Amino acid sequence: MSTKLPSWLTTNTPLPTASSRHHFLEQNSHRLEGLLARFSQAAEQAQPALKHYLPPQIKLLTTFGSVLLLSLNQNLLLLWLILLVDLGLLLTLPQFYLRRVLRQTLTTAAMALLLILPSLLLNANVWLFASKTALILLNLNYYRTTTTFSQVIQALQQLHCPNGLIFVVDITLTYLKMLGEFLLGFLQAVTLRTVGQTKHPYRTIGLLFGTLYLKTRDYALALYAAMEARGFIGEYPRVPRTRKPWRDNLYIILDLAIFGLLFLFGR
Amino acid sequence: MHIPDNYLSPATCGVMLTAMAPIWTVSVLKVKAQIKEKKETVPLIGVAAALAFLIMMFNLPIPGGTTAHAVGGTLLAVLLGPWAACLALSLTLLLQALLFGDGGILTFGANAFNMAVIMPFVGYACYQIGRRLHHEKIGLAIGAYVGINLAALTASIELGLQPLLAHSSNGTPLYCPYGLNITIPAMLLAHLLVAGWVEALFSVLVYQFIKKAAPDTLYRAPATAKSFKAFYGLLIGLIVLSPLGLLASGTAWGEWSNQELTHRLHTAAPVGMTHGVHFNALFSDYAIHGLNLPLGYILSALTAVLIFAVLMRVLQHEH
Repeated sequence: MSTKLPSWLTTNTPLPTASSRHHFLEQNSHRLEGLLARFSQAAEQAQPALKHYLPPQIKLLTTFGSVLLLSLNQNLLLLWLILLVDLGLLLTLPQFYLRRVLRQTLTTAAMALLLILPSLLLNANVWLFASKTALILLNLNYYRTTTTFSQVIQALQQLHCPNGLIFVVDITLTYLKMLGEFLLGFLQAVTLRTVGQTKHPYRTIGLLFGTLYLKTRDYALALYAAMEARGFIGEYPRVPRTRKPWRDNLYIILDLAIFGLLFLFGR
Repeated sequence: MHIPDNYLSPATCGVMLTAMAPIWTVSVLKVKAQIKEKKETVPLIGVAAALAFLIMMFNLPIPGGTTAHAVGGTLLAVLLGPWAACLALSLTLLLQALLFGDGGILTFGANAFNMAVIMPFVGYACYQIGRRLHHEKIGLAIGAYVGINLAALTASIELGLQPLLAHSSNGTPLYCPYGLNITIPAMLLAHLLVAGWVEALFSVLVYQFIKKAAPDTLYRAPATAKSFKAFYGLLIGLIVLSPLGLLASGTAWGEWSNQELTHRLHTAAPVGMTHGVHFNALFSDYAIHGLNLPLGYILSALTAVLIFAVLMRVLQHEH
């Protein structure tokens, strides 16, 4: 009996490279994982605690006001002053959040700058526009990084938004997590069970989102049944306001005074 | 297509937000009527907004190795009804602006107008025409393609108008620095060539799956006999009122004859126009020689309506 290995065992067979189909499934899995990480309580607890000096509704109004002010004014000195205030605010942030805000601002501002670059050929003076855009992005990223989902809902409640709207926003955020988890599980299952390439990756996508839609309906029906079982008759209870209205009002008056002054100053 | 902040002037943002207010109000009223029939619609809008978010987040492969994402406006309109889709998409856009950095806070009204109104309503209208002609899938594909392209066109017009609307004394644009001649081709080319096809294919495949797996879950518009009566009434009214156009003096802007153009320009008419193709229509100016002019108008309107009705009948399948 020969001890020689068969020829097929001695030849090197290159491993099949990952198909583009798998690549896009993996890419989407990563994006979904990133989204779900924002909902993860464990990840939230791992982050350093953030002191909230401002009530959520004032924070939302202040961000909105800053963006509006930046958008309305064309005064360089005013932009400079706002930048100084923003830098001061950034200094109060723990390092973890500071890095995140700066990283997001730099990435988004780079994208915005790329969009503006060709206009330099047409018009040399777009730097004011570019710096305003970067400042707006800094303000928005500061808000997004330092605000949790529940604070947004709280802000909407305090700003007298209809309870029906708040209820729907709440459902959206809750089910974004649930549907996201379902889709991620589905994507992983498809990646694990599929071998080789198919000619039409879109067929898989049709199946994925078709199933996700049916799941959406199931969730909505189950949720409605649960709401009815708890006595829901289509009316939403009024949410009490925060216990320190004088403090909120003081903040609002201060905000309005500062924004008014800055607006007049920037004209 | 999400317009970020500072690309539109605050005045434009205000106008777009004001334009959205009545649309949202009507949407809420329509959805309330829908809720009376199907009570789970309330939570469904919230869950559908989450679904729309995931659709917009999901990157789809396109030939050439890159990826693009669908918006799902037409698909949601077909699945939930256009009014509920408008609310769900608006909600998604609000959360994207507030929490996820897609689209601006001030430009929320403009983004909602483009993606939560134009896209679902145009797409749904095309789908309904397709359904009437018994070609639902073709209707949906055309609806998704046309819907996303019209939304892109609207966004590009909003952006391209900015240099005209807001500029400094020396003409420097204060907001979006590109004019219509750049924004329209840039946005439309990308959507006509890539994003439109991705949207159409995605919508049709998901629709096909749902129609096979659970056809009962698709949205069915309430009986429209009443609205069609109103539509026919409106059509007859318009035919009767068509001679009203005779009250207006002068010709419509840009519809001048060569003689009138010469008179307006105070110079000779452009050579290309004087030497161009001249077509003499059979019923020029909606009139037949020797016939009463208002009657000619009414007959012309009736002829056009009947020709289109015959064309529709030809295209329709036999029952």
